[in-house]
Amino acid sequence: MDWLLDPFQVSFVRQALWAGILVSLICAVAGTWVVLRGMAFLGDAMSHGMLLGVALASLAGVNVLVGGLLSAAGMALGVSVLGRSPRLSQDTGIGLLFAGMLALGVIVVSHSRSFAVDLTAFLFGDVLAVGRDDLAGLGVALAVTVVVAALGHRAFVALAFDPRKAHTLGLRPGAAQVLLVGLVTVAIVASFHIVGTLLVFGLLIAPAAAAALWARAIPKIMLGAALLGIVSTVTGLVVSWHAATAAGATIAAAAVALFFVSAAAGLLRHRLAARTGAPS
Amino acid sequence: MSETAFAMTGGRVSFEGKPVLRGIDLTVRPGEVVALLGANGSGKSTLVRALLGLTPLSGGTTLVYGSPPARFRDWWRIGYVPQRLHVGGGVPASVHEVVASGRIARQSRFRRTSAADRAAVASALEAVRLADREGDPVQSLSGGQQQRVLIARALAGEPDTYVMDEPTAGVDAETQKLLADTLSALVLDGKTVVLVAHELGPLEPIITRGVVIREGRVAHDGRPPRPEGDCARPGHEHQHPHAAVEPGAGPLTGWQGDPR
Repeated sequence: MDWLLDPFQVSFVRQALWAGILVSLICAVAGTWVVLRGMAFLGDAMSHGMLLGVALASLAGVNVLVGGLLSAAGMALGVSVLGRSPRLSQDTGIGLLFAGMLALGVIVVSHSRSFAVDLTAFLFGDVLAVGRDDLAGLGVALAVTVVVAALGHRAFVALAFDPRKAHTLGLRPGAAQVLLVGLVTVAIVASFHIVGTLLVFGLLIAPAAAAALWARAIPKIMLGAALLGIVSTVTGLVVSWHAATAAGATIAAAAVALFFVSAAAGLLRHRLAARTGAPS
Repeated sequence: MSETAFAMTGGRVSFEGKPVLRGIDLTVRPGEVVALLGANGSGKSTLVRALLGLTPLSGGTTLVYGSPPARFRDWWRIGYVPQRLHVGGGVPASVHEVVASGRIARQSRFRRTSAADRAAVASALEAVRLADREGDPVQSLSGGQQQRVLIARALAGEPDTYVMDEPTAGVDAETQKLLADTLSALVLDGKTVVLVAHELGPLEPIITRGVVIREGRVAHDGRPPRPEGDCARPGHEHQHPHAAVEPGAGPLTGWQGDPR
């Protein structure tokens, strides 16, 4: 079992493990809604479009988290405004803002000629450089995420079932949608500077998608997603230690691989059930 | 003081510059069973959505139990049955969960599902005869059964007023009969019903008032037409029994949209 425990003898890998676990928990809660509500593209666009805010914040000497938060919120607002136009599908609106904000972000970074913002770090993070302050920040984000998800749960479920009925039940579908997008924003902003936008997105989608294949109740999907996210983190860190690959990307790859394993297992289960079922 | 369930004055709705409702005056009082009739495209579904505040008015006012919909707080008094089940993406939902969501308007935010909630859901499922399919995913039901789930969801909330958008559209005969029986029971209980219908079928005897919408305006508001003889066959063009000598000249002629 040395091969499994060796990596974690080193403190920075242990910190990375904690970071990965906290991010997995945050992304399990937010990601379940992203998958169930079909918000993957919006989530991706927000995580990359944030570059504009991060770059500007870095230039202005302001905390990059603030910049990230403002630009993610700005993109969500932009998508909502564009979505009101009957001629533009939401998909196209998201694509436009994604391309625009990411392009502007790269322009700002390349033009400023300072290396204050490292594009590689933005995309892929540096999960092996996690410090105690970062872990504390993630802990706070996790607490906020869990509280918002718990309070908004009934409204989110009603919104997902039927927005028209949600209105006549006295809920406010508009406010619930804003809260849901806010939840996803918190998950992305809290995690990206530690694990990079690629890994955040991977942990947002893959574990929840895999869990949704097996569980039907939403809290169970979140639990399954949390477990799968943690397994992906451990797997990714162990593999990257022994194979000397980039840790963050390996975790993301492990998460997606686990999805396909889960899907294959589900398919196998159906085939076996069909075979042992009643003859046609 | 008798409260008016819905009161719309001069209601106008436009989509992309095209007028859909061109000035509707409509009042629904407690205990009435109102059928909103009209051809496809006449604006009747839009009218219902405007009454509930789902579609904003571009002119005129509308009140729900005396308040504008945006400021209305007692949504548990309204039971809305939309036209068909919104296939909510990947969200897995059992029949029980969908029906139970009808109780939300009565529950406080930090709700625990109470015994009253459970009893209301159980009796709603019994009323639509879907108690045996309680645990099944709602997407696995037939169209008629899904419609019954939507009706049960409204029943579970125990509202004062039911608003139903084409409840009999495309459903099997058993469901139509069940709906007629359910509505009769509600009416006996003194509930108010507003329903949008293209054709009344088995619901005819229950309706107390027929409002015909044509091209965004109220063309007739009063007793619904009673089918006689040939006209009792479903799908037959209805004409007012006391129409003028020339058939087709009465106020309800052409409400099903036949071109003149």
